Parts: sequence; structure tokens; C-alpha cells
Amino acid sequence: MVQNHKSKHHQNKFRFQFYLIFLKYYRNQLFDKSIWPNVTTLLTDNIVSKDNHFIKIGLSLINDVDEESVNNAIFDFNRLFVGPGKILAPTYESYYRNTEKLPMQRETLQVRRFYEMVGLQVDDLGREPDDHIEHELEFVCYLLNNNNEELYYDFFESHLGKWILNHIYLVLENSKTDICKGMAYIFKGFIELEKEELKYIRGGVTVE
Amino acid sequence: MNNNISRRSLLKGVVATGALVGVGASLSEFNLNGLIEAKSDQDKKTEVFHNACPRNCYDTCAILTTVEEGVITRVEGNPENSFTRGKLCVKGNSYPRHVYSPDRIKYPMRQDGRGSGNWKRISWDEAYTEIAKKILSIKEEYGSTLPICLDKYSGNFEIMHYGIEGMLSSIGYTTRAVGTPCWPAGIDAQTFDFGTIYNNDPEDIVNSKYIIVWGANYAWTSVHTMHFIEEARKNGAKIVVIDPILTNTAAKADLYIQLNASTDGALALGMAKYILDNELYDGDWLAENAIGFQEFLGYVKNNITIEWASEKTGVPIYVIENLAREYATAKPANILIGYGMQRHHNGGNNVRTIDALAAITGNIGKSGGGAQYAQLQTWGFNYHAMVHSPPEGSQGGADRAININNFAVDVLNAKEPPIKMMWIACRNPMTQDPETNVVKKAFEAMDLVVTADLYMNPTVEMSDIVLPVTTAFETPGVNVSYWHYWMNINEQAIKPLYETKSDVEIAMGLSAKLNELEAGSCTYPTSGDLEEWVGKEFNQNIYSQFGMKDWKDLKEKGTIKAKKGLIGWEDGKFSTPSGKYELWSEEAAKFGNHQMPIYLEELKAPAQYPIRCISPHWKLNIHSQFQHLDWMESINDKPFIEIHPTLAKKYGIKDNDNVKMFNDIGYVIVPAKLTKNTHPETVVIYEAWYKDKNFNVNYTLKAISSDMGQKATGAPGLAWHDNFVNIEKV
Repeated sequence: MVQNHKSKHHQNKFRFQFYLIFLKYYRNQLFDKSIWPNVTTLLTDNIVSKDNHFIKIGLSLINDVDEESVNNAIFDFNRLFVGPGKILAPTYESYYRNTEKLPMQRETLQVRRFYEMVGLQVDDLGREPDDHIEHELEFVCYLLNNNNEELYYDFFESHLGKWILNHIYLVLENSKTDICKGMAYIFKGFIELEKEELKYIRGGVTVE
Repeated sequence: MNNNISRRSLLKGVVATGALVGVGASLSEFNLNGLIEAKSDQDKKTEVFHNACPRNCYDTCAILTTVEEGVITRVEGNPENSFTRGKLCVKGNSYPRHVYSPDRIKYPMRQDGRGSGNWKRISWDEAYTEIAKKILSIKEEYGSTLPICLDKYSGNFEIMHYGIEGMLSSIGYTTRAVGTPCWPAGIDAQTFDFGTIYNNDPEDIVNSKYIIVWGANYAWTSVHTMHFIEEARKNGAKIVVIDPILTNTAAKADLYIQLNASTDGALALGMAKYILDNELYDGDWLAENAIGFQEFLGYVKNNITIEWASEKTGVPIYVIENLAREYATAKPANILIGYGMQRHHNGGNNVRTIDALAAITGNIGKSGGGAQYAQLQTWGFNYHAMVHSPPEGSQGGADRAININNFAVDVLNAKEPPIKMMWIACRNPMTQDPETNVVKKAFEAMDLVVTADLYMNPTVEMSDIVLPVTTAFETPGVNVSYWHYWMNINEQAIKPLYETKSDVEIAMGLSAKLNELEAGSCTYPTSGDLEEWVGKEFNQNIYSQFGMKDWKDLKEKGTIKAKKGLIGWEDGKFSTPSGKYELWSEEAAKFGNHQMPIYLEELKAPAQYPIRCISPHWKLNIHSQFQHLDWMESINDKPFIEIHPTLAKKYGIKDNDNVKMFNDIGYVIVPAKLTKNTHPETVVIYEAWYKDKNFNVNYTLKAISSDMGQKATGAPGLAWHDNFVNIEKV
């Protein structure tokens, strides 16, 4: 039991670190010449193996990038996720799950309920959609960092896991740089494994 | 394979975040950033707010907005408003999508190379700093702020939005795009005739016995007006529509008269000829209320024949005669004058001749009568957000005006000092101005272009810095119409999404930065409560006109109608120099026009470009607004050219063929829609901005001035519908 507990604990730390990298990625905190090489190192040496097909592709795309590539990736990143034009890979859940394809829909409020369960809310509620990827990843990190594994599974099953692959699909379809593409592949590989893991743990629960 | 094993092989040994070697704290530190500890006062209730549609539209609707947990879930018309009667148009009903569009500009951003599409997100402080430094360096280099040019117009007609002009006034004397693209020739025409524009309450249309809708398509552009026209019909009125296009409005008329474009004045004078010859005019009214009748009588008798009018307009003689007789004998008779027919080089004169019909038949100043164009009677606000003085010691003497209708050329030609910086707000010149290629050159010639907007569009594409602005639902304000007599309060229904700010907040922020960098360099207030600012727009005259004690009374029902002055010129006191209706206007002559409403020859098509293109309003948009929303796209996302089958046959064009419409300055390629609804010698392309489509009819439009507009609006109008082109199948 002790062993199992420890292993679970370790596993959540891996997850946590992984989500944390992507939280920082979506917060646009990694595109810095002093930080980016560490991202590659972290992902390659510490977090992920090269076993997974998508992760393998992703790692090959983000390795050995020069400063210019990082700079171009910022523009790509903005086209995909920020604007000012029509964002090519919308970053909020309701776009993918609500028939209106708009921010601030039913799913947004459902996500708000999840945050409330642990006494959290979006800062300046009502300005940024609650189901924006940054908030959902931050929430996941918070849960894992606090070893609230059950709620993480619940949230993954009812929210993050229900849309994130569709988002990643749009990133892969629209990104023009190796960095944004590579990060999407790595994210995809991780999420797919995470889904399998959940299927194993919770048995029979289907996740889209 | 056991999934746990699979995971273990995937996620190798690193455990504690602090234990990562060599990656630094930047990657392993976790802190809550966007999430905070939940506040106990979270607002979970459902509320209904009063809003106002601020678009450049007759109807200026009163809206009820349902907000649940801070999210707009529904918009509907406010039933308290007897003009809009609880209903919105197709555009108004799309407002939740306008607010929550995934295409909203969310953050201030800077483009690395104008037109490159390489944008970086910046903070508001960075944006203010860069803009303020540029303003100060321009002032330093040129000795004044005249090289800074503001181009702002009708994207949002809410009163606080005049704070944009106020911001520019607060930094010194600047260059301003002056005038209006929409309606200036008609405004001047009515200014010469009546003294100003002053239509009857459109709800009074129900009292008319005869209605001529002349060059307006209310079924598309003022749906609520149609209700009153229909009510008048139920009361026995006959409805006539005069238009080169068989519009949806024309389709609902009792009589539709198709005339050759730009010959409206000939039709009006032909009618006048019949009325005068047959002594159907109201001599008593004219004697008491008008000057210049004898001169006008002489002009018509000596120069006009109905045969001539028929030949000019293409309208049969008997139709002109019948129309004239019916109009002159039905009392009261009403003419609703649209803006389409004044978008010609002779547009102002066309409107004056139509006004003259109302005058000679004594239909002015009467319920059910009139020559209705527009009104600004309800616009007597303080313009507190706008009126600000330049800093002490500002150089340049006064603001420099350039013509909004020839904006690009005037920008490029400006000398001593040249224009180096543009501020664009409530405006989309890259899609809406004539001569698009020249507009692009003007943008390219700038050191800095700042655009404040809601969505990415071709103007934002040509900007260096874009500032995200709020929708009407995210900031308080107050709205009135240039047609009906209601005032609508606009409450802040939701928080501004993302990092958007209202134009007044932007002005305050920029002022703070300017003063931080150089004390005293901007007089605009650096802070203020926006709702309090709404209150500062009111005065005793408005309170008296609307029967209010306090502006906050408006919050009760959200909408209030003027209590007096609902029939234009009812007291017979005209605002002209003579105090009378002026069929003879010396003021008109001062601005280069004939004293009388005469026929100014319409422009003729040159041999190589023998077809006239008119570019009227489209039903799913207002200029470059709305058509880009997904709901509109789902109804129609294809621009097209309407061609009469007879004309199409001549050019070997079949329905849905791709057609190149061109002239010496540009071209546009669109599929053909063959329809007998359009005039046999006139093609129609509805002006619109379609997102992600390389379509803009204004590539072919030259900046030809109309005959009037200078007096009342500061610049002549634009002859949008004198666009001569050729077409070919491609």
C-alpha cells in the first residue's frame, strides 16, 4: 500500500510538471532565449520518454531550434491563440463543446462550478472565460499540486479531456512553426496516454 | 500492456519539482495567477439591463439584455419604446455573437511590420508609452501636433464616443478628417431650404394619406419604419416607392416607379411642372411661409417640360402626371427621402427639388406631411467627453481639416507639416473609403498608425498598434437617433471582456502617460467614473425636451421619448436667414450652388466605362459591421453583382458567371446574379466587408464630390453612385 501510494504520488508530480510546462507555454512565458532551451531539456531528459509516437515527433521538432525560430514561433503562437486576427486554434472549451461555438457559454459556467468546489474563481470574474486553457491548466496544476487526484480525474473527464484534443488538432492544422507544432504533438501524446490511464483507473468511462 | 507501466516508462524519474537539475525556477515554480480564492460575493443572479444599439442606423434600438452570472444570454427589443416596439433587426439579434465573437481583439498588440501579420501582445502601459512618446517626438520635431491625424466617424454613435475627438483636442491642434460620407449633400440641401434637417416623428407616418419613399430601402435599413408605413396603408394611404432598384421596400409598395439613377431631380421638377401648371399648389402656404416661389415658378415654367422629365428619368409621362396629381391632392402627403439619391454629383440638388414638392403643396410643418430626411433635434448634449481645450501654448493655431471623403489623397498631400501619425477609431477606411489603393499608400506613408477596434479588419492589418475596445454592452453611455425621437440609456451589462477598454478610458490612460512623460502635455482627465460621465452629458434643455428631472430617470424604462417638437417646422419658424422656407437661397449660392432647386445634369458614363455601378446598403450589415459574424455568413457569405438580364446578355454573362467589374483605377471579381430587380443600365454591388475575402467594391470608386455638404458638415459629400465601370465575363 505504501508503495502504491508513493507511486501514485510520484505519478501526480509527473503530471503536475507536465501540465505546468504547458500552462507556462499557454501563458506565453517560455519564449525567451534563456528559458526555451531548458524547456527542451526538461521535456527530453526528465519528463517524457521517446516511446510515444507523437511525443517522438514533437521532441524532434522542438530540439535544436535557434533564436530566430523562437522569435517566429511567437508570431505563430499569437496567430493560433492570441490575435488580433481570428484565432486559428481557439483556447476555450465552449468553442469546441457548445453548438454556438462562442466563449462564455454553458460549459464556461460548468467549469466555474468546478473551481468553486475547491474555493477558487477566475480573477476579475467575467472578463476572461473561465474555461480558457490557461485557467483549466492552472486548475489542473492546482489540483495535482494538492494531491487532489480524484477531482482532477473528474475535471479531466468532464472538461479538459473532452475538448483539448480538438484544440490540438486545430493547432496542428494551422501552426506554421516547428515549435508550436512540436509542442502540440507532445501535448497530444501526453493527453492520449492520460486518457488511457483514466480508462484503466476508472474503467468503462469513455472520454471523447 | 499495463497502462501504469506504460506511464512509468513515459514519465521518467523526476519527482519533486524543486529537484529538476539545471532548468531553473522559471519552469518549476507554480503559483496561482488567473485563479484566486473565491469571493463570497459572487454574482449568481440573473439581471436585465437596458442597452442601446449605437450603430449608424435610423432605428437606434432600445435593447433589453438578459445577463446570467455575468454572461449575456439574450437580447431583445425593449417594448417600452413605441418606435422599435420590442423588436430588433437581424443585426441587433446577433449582438451576443458580436460581443462573444472568437474574433474579438482581446489585447493591445503591436505589429512587426505593417501588413506583415506578425503581431506581439503588449501591455496597455507599453501601448500608451509608445504612442505618447511618438506624440511628444512629433510635437518636438514639427513644433505642433498637426502631423497627427484623427479619422473617426460612425462605427459607434453613442455620445461618450466623442471622447475620441476630445482626446485629440487635449494634446493640441491636430489634423481631422472632417465631413461625413453618408448624407452630407442632403443635409446641406435641407439646410438651404429649411435651415437645418428636422423630420417629423416617424411614428407620425401613420397619419399620412399618401407616402412616397424616395430612394430609401427601409425594409433592409430601417425595419421599424416599415411598420408605420404599413399602418398608414391600413389607414388608407397609398405607398409609392421611387428607386432605380426594385428593392424589398419597393416590392411592398402600391406603386413602384423605376427611374434612371441620378435623375430624381428631373422627376421632381416634372411633377412640379404638372402641379404648377394645374394650379394644384398651395399658394396660401407659400405666401405665408416661403420666399422665392415666383422665381421657382418662373424657372419651372420656362425650363421644365414633362416630356423632358420623362426622357431623363425613363418614367412615362402619364406616370409622372398621375403621381404629381395624386401627391398634390392627397392631404397630408409625405415624402420620405433616403440617402441613396443624394450620393450623386447632383445629389444635393435632387433633394432640394424634392423638398420643393413638399413646399409648393403646403405639406410642410404638418402631421402626416413633410419632406423627411433626418433630424438632429435630440442631440443637444453637453459633449462633455468631447469638449476639451488644447494645452496652454499649443502651436498650430487651429485644427486642420481634411476631407473625410477624399481622406487618403488629403493625407498624402498635407504639407507643412506633413501627416506622420494616424489615429483610427469607429472607422474602417481600408474597406469603406473610395480609391482603396490610395488609402493603402496613405497608411504606408505614416510613421505610426494606431487603430482602436473590435475585430481584425483590413484597417487593423495596416496598423502598427491595435487597441481593443469595448462593445456597447461593456461600457455605459446614452444614445439618440437621427430619425426617431427616443433617447436610450446604455447600461454596462457585463464586464469588459479580456483587456478591452472604452474609447474614453483609452483617452484617460493616454493622458496619464503623456503627463507622466511631460507634465501638462495633455488636458484630458486621467480618471473618472464612466457612469458619472454619462450624467455630465445632460442639461436642462434635454431634461425639458424629454420631460425628465434627472438622467437617472432613464434607468427606469431604459428609453424615453421627446415630449415636444415632434412635427418639423410646425411653428412655421424656419432656421434659414430669412426665417422662411427658401425656394431661393442666397446661402446656397455662397456655397457654389444655384439659389433655386434646379436640375443639375447627372454625370454621363464615359464611352469606355458605359455602365453605372451603385453600391447601396446590404441587409446583413452596416458598412463593415455585422457581415463578418458567423450568423450572417451562414445566411450569405458571397458578395455578388446584380445585373439586369438584358445587360448581361449584351456581355454574354449568365447567372453565376464570374464577372470582372473594372475601370481605370481598379477592379473586383464577383459572381453575377441576374435579376430584373435592377435597372437595365445600372449594376449593383452591395457595399460590405466580408471577412477573409478579397472583395471591396471601393477599389473601383473614385473620390468624386457631390454638389453639397460643405456648409453643414465641413466637406462635400461623395458621389458613391456615380461609379462608372465596364464588365466582362472571366
